[in-house]
Amino acid sequence: MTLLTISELNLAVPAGRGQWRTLVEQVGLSIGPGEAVGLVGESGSGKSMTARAVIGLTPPGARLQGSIRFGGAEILGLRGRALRELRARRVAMIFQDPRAHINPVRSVGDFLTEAMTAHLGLTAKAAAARAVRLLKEVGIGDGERRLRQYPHELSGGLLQRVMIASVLAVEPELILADEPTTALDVTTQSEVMAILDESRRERGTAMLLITHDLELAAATCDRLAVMYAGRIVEHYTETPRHPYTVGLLRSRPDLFVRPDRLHVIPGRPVAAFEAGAGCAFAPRCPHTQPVCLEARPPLAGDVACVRVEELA
Amino acid sequence: MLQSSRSAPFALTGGRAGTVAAAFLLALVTATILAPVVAPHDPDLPDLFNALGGSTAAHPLGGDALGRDVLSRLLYGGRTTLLGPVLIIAVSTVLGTALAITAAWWGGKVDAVVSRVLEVLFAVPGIVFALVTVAVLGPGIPGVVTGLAVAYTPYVARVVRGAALRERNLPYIAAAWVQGRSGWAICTRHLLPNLRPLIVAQSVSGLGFAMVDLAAISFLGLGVQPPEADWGLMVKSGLDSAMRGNPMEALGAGLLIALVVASVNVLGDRLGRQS
Repeated sequence: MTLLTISELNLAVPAGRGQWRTLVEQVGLSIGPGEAVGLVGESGSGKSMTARAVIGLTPPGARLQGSIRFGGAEILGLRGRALRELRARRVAMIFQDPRAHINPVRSVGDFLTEAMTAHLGLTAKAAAARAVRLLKEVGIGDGERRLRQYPHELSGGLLQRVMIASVLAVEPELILADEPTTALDVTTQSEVMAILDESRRERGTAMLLITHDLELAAATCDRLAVMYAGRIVEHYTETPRHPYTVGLLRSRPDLFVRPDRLHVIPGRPVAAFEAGAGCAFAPRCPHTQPVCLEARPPLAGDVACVRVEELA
Repeated sequence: MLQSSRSAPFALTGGRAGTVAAAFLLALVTATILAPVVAPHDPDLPDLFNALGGSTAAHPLGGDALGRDVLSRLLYGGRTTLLGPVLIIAVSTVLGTALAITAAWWGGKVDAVVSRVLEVLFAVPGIVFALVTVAVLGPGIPGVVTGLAVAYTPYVARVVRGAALRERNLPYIAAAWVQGRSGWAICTRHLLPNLRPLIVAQSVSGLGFAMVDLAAISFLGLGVQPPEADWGLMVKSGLDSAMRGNPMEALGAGLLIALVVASVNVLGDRLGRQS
């Protein structure tokens, strides 16, 4: 039984003069209840768009195809009240930059209690008490004082905890975490991830973690999906096999070896609409053969590479 | 992002000019509210011995052509003169903000229709508008206030629409969507509070213009009707008196209008810079 199943998702945005710009192509992904799945890839690879499609937060005029099923029901193209109910109670999102995503003119207390009074039917007083408990859960002790403060009075790390508390408040079945720690420094980053991980274990909340930090994803998630140019090129749990993922992992500095130079993948990442006919990674891949340029390799056995058997 | 210092939402009185302006307006408003208590005479009581009289102990600013006490008339006249612009600005701010947010929020065709209507309104000077509503509703405060309120709406709407367009694309609005809030809740609880400093600044600056327009219309004889006191009206009747001996009526009313407009502009400017 899966909680979220995305299949053959395509997303394109209008590029003027009847042209379409593909951002996400043939993406398939599933998450079970309580499972954490990491979606990794470079900027512009379509990982955020995939998550935003789940919650109906796509750019205006975007064209979506495929299917997104959540708890057995199709949620792609949901509108109005049904979409609001899905967002309010069942799927929540944590954003990369909490400062931009929390209304600057309203207090932290307003931000935390708004969803509780509006969607859970709590009184203002009960909601405030609950907000204080939630803040304690995410490691903010002096909750009463924090509720009266405004976002600009809190540091980025504290604000991200507030955002997480607001998500925990509605006890969603699925949390979409879009680079939740990118704007934070490294020590805060690990604390925030620990909070997310703990809440997942305690409440059985499923999580889709979007990040470009492979180590972070590997440490937190049960499975990883790697995106490149709008497509998922590989699903893996332990050892990656796709040349792109292998290249990414080789590019990390090793803690114990002092390298002369870091390994780099030559070239620059491309977006889905820039890729040629063949494998989108072919221009940068060290193993490219003529066969790679013929057609987009399908995702066969978790890896989208025609030469994966030879390379193993 | 429109952000002002949140701990003191509107620091009205920063700087010496702001303090003086705020103090002056406060004193004037208090004096007009307390007019029945502080005015030395009945503003509508003629006293032919005081007609066009100069400054005396009993009548510090002398009397008008009918011998009514000028100081008392200024105090009572301040009530309509000050209240009128407030009404105009209140109505036009509510209307303009509602139109602006509707336009910015829905965008597309709604925005196009609202914007075109506003442009048509822009083309008509406020006074002309007031003349039309006075023709329909008859001379007096209700007709003038209605006309000027409509005429002032596009000024508010234009500024607010621009800001609302910027704000609605900011991430915190998307975050509110993701929390499952309705469009109405997002507009009233998130968008509006962020626009508030701008709206307040805009309406305070509008007060000055509204006051001058209102005085101009009363001067033309279409606004406040005699014998009721009004500064615009007093400038007109005072012109006559000035020729015949007592310039205090026209001078006093004119000076008060000028000072109030200047004070309001100082405050509006201050608020505008904060937002």
